[in-house]
Amino acid sequence: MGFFAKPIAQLIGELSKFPGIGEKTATRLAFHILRSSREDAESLAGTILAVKEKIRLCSKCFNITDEDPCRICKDTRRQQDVLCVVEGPQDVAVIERTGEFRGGYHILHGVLSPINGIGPDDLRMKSLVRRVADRDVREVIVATNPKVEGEATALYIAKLLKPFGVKVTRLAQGLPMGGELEYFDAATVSAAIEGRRDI
Amino acid sequence: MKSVITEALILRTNDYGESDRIVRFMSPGLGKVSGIAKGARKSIKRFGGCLEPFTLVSLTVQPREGLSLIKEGAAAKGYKGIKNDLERFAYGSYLLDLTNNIVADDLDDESEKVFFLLKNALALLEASDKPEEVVREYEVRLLGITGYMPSFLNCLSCGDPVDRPMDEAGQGGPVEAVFSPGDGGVFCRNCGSEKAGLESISIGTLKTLEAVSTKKVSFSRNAIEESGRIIPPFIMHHLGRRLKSLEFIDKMKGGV
Repeated sequence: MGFFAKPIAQLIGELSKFPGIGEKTATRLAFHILRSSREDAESLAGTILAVKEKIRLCSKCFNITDEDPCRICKDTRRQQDVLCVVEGPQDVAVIERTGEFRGGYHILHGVLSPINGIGPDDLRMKSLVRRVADRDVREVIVATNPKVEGEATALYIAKLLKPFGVKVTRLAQGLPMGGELEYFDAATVSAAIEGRRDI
Repeated sequence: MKSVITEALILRTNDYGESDRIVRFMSPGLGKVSGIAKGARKSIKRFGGCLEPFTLVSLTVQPREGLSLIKEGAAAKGYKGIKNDLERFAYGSYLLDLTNNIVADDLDDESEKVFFLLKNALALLEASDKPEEVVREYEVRLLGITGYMPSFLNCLSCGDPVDRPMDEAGQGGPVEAVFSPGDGGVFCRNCGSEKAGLESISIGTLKTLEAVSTKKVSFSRNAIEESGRIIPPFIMHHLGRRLKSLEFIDKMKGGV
């Protein structure tokens, strides 16, 4: 990148740190910024700074928010006795988009991962127990990803909450909408058979 | 290079980019391999969720320098008994982590042995109510295959067997020896007496560890406990660091 002026080279260097952005894409983005108006560049820089300055974690559910408690935790119209446990803030957006769930959330910020040395104390487990113990929670829906580590985390949560007599449920697993049976692997079909329901 | 179809055990995976996955697996023919599965997180048709630890898979792989290309895969066995039990999951993760870290990428001739040793250990772990025994047995056998086997029955200093019988004066043979992870084996009581901080180990446990490398033996409760104090530190000494999966086991032992 020696042939670019130093500020452009620096910008390319910074942009190529983003996930999925290589040097070529970073160069395209950098030249797009260079060609943009001063106002657009200032707006972009200001927005990035605002994200770092204003965004924090909700003290109740640990979702990312600019106000504490977050909008979901403050909303009294939502069911207060049902909690959905997810791995990360992006999962909240996915569930909210369905419009099917009107309870509260609890964001773990990860999953149990022996190979990466992530144990229960590295996740928001104690605060989950506190929330269940302090409030009249009727059901906890564990919506961690259906991968090995997500499943182990769900098992751990079920064990952890057993003494409180709360109903712990897991998102259904199996066939996706619009799929075709012949293309699915045995594990997926097996999970679908196991989780079949009355109609 | 041409694509090959191989049986494999998935050791670990890392998401890469938007939808790719980098997979480390153990194959009987290819050895320990790192490969990239393009679009693996989106393609149900080509991978169908088979690229997960604790899965025995059939993979179509194009071997390449650096990262091989994983073209497609299908799960053959999912080891549900490990995935559905936290304790077995923790110990099983250590087996995968240990294999990934201790087995050299160019183990060529011994790859098949490591593959079947791991396959057998996962099958045993799935049904065992003594997961620690499965793990200790696997550790010792893996050390044997990879050439790191410690000396369990002969003193590293004087060479005498530490399990020698009664002497001429009719005195009983020793009941214990000391194990040194750094030196890679045992010292008899005489030679080890000046070495500070070494673990005392009963002769019975040392005999069990020696025997386990060649045949199926049953560990006593004491042998499980004692070998747990010497084998992992020995492995960590050779690796030069502590495996995170071992730390996880310690964390989980704290109880739920």
